[in-house]
Amino acid sequence: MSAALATRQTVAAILFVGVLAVVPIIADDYQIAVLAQVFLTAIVGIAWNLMMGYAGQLSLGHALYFGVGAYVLAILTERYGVSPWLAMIPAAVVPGVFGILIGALGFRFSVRGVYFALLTIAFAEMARIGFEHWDYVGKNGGFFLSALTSANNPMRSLRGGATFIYYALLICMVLTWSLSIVLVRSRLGYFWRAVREDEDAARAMGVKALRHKLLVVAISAAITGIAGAWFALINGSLFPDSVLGMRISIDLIVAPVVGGLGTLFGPIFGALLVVPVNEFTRSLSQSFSINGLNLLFYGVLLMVIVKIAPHGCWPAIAGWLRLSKHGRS
Amino acid sequence: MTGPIGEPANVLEVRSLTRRFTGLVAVNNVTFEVPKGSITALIGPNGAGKTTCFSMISGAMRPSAGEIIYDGRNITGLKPEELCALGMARTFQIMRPLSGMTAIDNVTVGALLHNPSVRLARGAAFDVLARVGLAEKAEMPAAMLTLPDRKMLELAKALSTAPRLLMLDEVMAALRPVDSDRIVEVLRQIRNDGVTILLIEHVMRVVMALAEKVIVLHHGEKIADGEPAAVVSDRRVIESYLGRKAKAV
Amino acid sequence: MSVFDLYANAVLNGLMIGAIYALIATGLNIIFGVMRVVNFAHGEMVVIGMYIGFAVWKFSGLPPLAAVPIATLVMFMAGYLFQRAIGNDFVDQPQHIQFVFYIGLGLTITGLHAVIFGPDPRGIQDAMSFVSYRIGIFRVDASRLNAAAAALIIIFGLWAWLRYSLTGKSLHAAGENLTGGKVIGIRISHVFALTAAIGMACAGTAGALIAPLYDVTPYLAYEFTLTAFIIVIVGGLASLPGALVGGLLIGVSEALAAAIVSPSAKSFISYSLLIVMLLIKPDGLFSPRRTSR
Repeated sequence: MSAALATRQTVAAILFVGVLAVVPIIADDYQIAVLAQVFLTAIVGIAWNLMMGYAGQLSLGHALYFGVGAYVLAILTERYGVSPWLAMIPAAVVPGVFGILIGALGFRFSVRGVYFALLTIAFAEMARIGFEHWDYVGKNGGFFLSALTSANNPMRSLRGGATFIYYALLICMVLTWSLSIVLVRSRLGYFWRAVREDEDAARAMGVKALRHKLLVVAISAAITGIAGAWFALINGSLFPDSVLGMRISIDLIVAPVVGGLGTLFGPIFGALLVVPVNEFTRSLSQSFSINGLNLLFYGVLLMVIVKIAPHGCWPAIAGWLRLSKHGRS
Repeated sequence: MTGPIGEPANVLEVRSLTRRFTGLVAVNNVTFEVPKGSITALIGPNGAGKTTCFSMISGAMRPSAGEIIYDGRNITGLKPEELCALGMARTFQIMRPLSGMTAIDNVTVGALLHNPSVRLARGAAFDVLARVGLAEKAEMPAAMLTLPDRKMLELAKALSTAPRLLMLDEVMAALRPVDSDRIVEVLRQIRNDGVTILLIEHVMRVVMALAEKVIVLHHGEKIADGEPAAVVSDRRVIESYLGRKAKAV
Repeated sequence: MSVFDLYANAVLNGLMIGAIYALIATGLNIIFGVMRVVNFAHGEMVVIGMYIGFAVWKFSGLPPLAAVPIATLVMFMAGYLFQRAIGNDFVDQPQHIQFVFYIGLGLTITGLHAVIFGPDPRGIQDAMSFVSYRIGIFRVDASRLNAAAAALIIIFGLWAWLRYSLTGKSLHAAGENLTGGKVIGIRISHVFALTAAIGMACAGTAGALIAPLYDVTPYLAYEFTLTAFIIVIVGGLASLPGALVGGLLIGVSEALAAAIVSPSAKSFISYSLLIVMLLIKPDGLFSPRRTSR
């Protein structure tokens, strides 16, 4: 990559984050909350993109990691009084372990492509049903974090108002983004892409495909788990339906696909597009009292984007902005 | 069988190698040796079982019976990535470039096997590309390379893993003589650097020019084994193959 | 009623609903088998059929069974047009792209249903709804029996057509060997459109058959989609008998799970079965053994 391109990219990235850092000064609480949602979606999108966009493994059960991370953090902080900072670790590790188990099962039995996707769906759905029947987490009735009092210290409880959440998630998103950049440019990035392109050819070149596939699943699952943990902290209540199962899995993948798989900024761009549109159509739906309008718009949007820009919207735009050499990497 | 200082004289020994599919025996009790530092050719008509042998040797397919000895060590059943780490590299008859990646990225993947950092690996990869004449096209996406260049890339990918045994599957196929001559030169240089080469080939011109030893397969069985001149005049070989398919120049 | 009677009836009911599942799965089998397309909107097609069944009954007072041929025809034509106009462009795309496209399609259809019919359940109540027969220990609802019988007739009819008619055979051929098919002159875009038409017609017909049995809401769709995929994997992608056996198997196991454990546990068994099949024999129960590595 030329030095000029690298400089342009760095400058653009700094500008981007800088602008986001000052937005809360001029935006209202609702807009801030929507952007926070964008950041959360972007974090999961980056995680999923590592697995699908770079390593080529299609997971449609990422909700499993999201939900498990959410419940782990919620249970530890609520029932055991663990500090949320500390609880983030198991919220990442436990989903990571699940990822390795599912991956090991799938890869060991050479379950690839569509079949692997179905496998992940099955596990995510079973988790949802399992949690729906589990008394300890309140089954379908929900699991609730205690209400915030005026004595709440956001830095300790990691819960707070819209602005606090905004900055917390912005920082997480930047960290996740940086991590993904480092990983993709490392040996891992090369091995993942090789496995994506042609696993057998990669193995013939000495790439330890199994190890690297498991690694990407573990990392992807762990990051998604942390995002789930934040979801719990933000919403204060968890229902199996809202964090587990295939419906949620589908929600999680729309943004990175729309933004652009196999690119570093694509998932963020996708989240920037998709989340506000979803919000907008949802409020349209409500104000006209027409149920389902948001689904309709969302569905049409997906089909249109996938038809005219199957590699996502970001690659073309990055090209115009002269921020990339050519489409995918 | 060892040489003077206790090292095996043969880089590769294949013993009674057999592979059965339902209703078909693709490779039947094949035994041969590939001497260290040699260029050995494996020839035979289409369907003789040559690529199947390669697949078994390189770990992509499990033999139904038989053993494969590499450097004195029984490697039967090891996985492709393990064998590559031990110094065995192969190219594929149907080329398998990593199409979404650039040429240099393709080769870097292999170079990372023996280079600890990405920077060093890319440097080594560039050297390999230069060696096969693809230096100017390093940043091109592999999918956009011409056929001869893709062949070179396939060779470069194998070379990047710093192999001691290089297995080439019909690397000359569909090339114009000027391009295949280029590859022949590169292969000679590689051999002079101490790499043993085992190649499957149809283009007889190349086999006669390069190979010191020729093994002939027909219907999955070995029918001849020896120096090119001897093999070429072997009756059975002529009947089975050379009489119909010789691509003399 | 003794526990045995309960379970026996559960099995019978499971078989009947299983026959209808089998019809849904047959449709998906044909689509996936011939085109290798992952139609994640299959469940939505079933729901379209259900709404057609409901609407016909509501607005014309005809018996629900009359809606079935209407649903079949509508879905057949819609499927053909859809595939020719848009679907064919996606057949060559990578699988995750197909997934997103069909998910989008599904959401669009569900959204339309919600907008047109509203989210509340709609049910058919007609004379047949309350008729049931007693045969020994079994208690059989007439409407359920009719639906299952109709489903079986359609399935066998479809099999026969695929095996013995020229078009049917070319469909089968296209599925087996696409390049070969092209070489001998089968018009691929037409064949694919026909495939989609048949597949979606199966789904829609099944929906119309189900309409008298269950209330319809827009959100039923995704369970149908998942169940169809489970059946197709368990029974086998290349195998139509597999879809039938798979459908019956899933129908029965769900009914038993609901009877023995609890209604919401029924999917648990199905998913476990799916996982086991994916690991051990992803080509399904009825496919020939894959050659080993």
